[in-house]
Amino acid sequence: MEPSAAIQHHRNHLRLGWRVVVILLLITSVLAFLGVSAVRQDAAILLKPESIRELLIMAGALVVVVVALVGVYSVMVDFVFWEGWMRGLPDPRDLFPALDPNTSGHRHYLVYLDGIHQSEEDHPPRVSEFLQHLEQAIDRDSLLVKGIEAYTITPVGLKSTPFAHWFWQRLFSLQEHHPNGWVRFLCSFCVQANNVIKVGISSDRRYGPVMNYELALKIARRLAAIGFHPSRASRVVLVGYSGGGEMAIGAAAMLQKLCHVPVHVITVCGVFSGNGDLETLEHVSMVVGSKDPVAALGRIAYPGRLPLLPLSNWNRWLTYGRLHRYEIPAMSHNGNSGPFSRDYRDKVVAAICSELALTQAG
Amino acid sequence: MLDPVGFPLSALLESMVQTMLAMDTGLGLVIGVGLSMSASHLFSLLANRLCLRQIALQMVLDALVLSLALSLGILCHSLMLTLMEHVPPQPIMMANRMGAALWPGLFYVLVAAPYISDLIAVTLLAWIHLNVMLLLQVHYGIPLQEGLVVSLPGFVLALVLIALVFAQRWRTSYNTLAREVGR
Repeated sequence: MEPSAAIQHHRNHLRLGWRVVVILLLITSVLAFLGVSAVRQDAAILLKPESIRELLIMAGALVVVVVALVGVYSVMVDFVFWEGWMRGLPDPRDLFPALDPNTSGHRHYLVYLDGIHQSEEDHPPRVSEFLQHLEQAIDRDSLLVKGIEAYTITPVGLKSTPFAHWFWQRLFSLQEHHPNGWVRFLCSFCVQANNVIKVGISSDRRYGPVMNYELALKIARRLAAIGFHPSRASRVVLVGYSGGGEMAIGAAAMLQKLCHVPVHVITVCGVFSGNGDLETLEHVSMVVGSKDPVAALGRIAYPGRLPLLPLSNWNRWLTYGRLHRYEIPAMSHNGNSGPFSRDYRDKVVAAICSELALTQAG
Repeated sequence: MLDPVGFPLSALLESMVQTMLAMDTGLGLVIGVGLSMSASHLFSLLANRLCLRQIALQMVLDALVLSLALSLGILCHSLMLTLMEHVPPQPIMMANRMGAALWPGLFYVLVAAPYISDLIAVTLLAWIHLNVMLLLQVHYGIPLQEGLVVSLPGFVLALVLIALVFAQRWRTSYNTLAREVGR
């Protein structure tokens, strides 16, 4: 087809679309006019304060029920995987079978767990650039492991999730290609809401252990695939950004048991509960921005990190654990003043490298 | 029927009382609430890696134990009424009168939801407790402040028993997980 003909065809297609929209709007307006005239009295009753209050109560109750059901569904997937009904749950004994002479010579493994914006294994361009910088800054004995989807428990990403892959594929397609900005925003919101739910499950005292175990298994399998072996490696460092911080702290103790090496955690602008099993962890460090409202809000949303609850896992760990805090002045949570921005990424990388050097010596 | 506490609040309490009186339900509701509570910790049974038949059996058993805990709570209310207000002990009649107070517990299954579970649980339990106080006022003419004292021991007893059942189930599931990782 000629380019001009293609353009003409596209233009005709758009015109037809507009005509359909205008006709539909007209029909809707006429119907609405007739409808309002017919139910004017009922509409007047609906606008009364009592009716509005009742409507708001109903809407509030509906939101609570829907949020609860979505959470239950999300937990259900984790437990179905745990039961082995979805297959793919490996036996921890078979993770690192025998030492292959060709295995990687690295001793330190840095595993990056992204924030709740993550929808696929590939990171957004800004995060990828940051990770390139980090990769160049760490020593030769260390290997940076990227592209782990922290918010799915199965080895595959959301796009290939059993039972729901069609939904996620459609959602990602709309998120990337839909011409309407609001639709893209809504799809992006849905992806992030799913990840926020996973952060909530990870921090839940009832469900967290099973989900964190599944995530630890996923990370251990990935490490095994790139040549990690407990007899050669000396440690694994989980670097979690934002909600990834919660996933890192949640999975760390289990990962330590599975990999038989010490696991350290570094959170970058981390939002985490402090409910995780920290007892066996030696080092946890936080890279924080002085102008990060999200991390500050997370501290309020998760009361386990407030001094008011001295018996919480986090506060008990603080009495004997080693917390290193790196505050970067004027850094925010994301965007142009976030940790991946040009202004701050070098400072964040420097903080991570300082922590690696410090804990390596320790 | 109720003391005027301020118009919107007293109207709300009055409507809550009318709802409960209109329900015309008695102790039978306890079983429904027990089932709902039992269903809220279904996932702890899944974490134990039980088969479907075992899960169903455990759920029914837990529902009965939880119903018993709630019934014991009501029995405790009856004893407190006898001790404090000198009302002759009539546990069956009292249970039938107070049973309707438990209706918010039918939604206890929502406590299974992560991250908002504590909020839902506290709201539902507080609601049940308020209902008990209101019914004590309606049926026995006990003011709300005194009703709080009368109903508190039974409420605490029921809560402790429920917490014990839940904690036992989750502890078993953690043991299963520990075995899985440690082997």
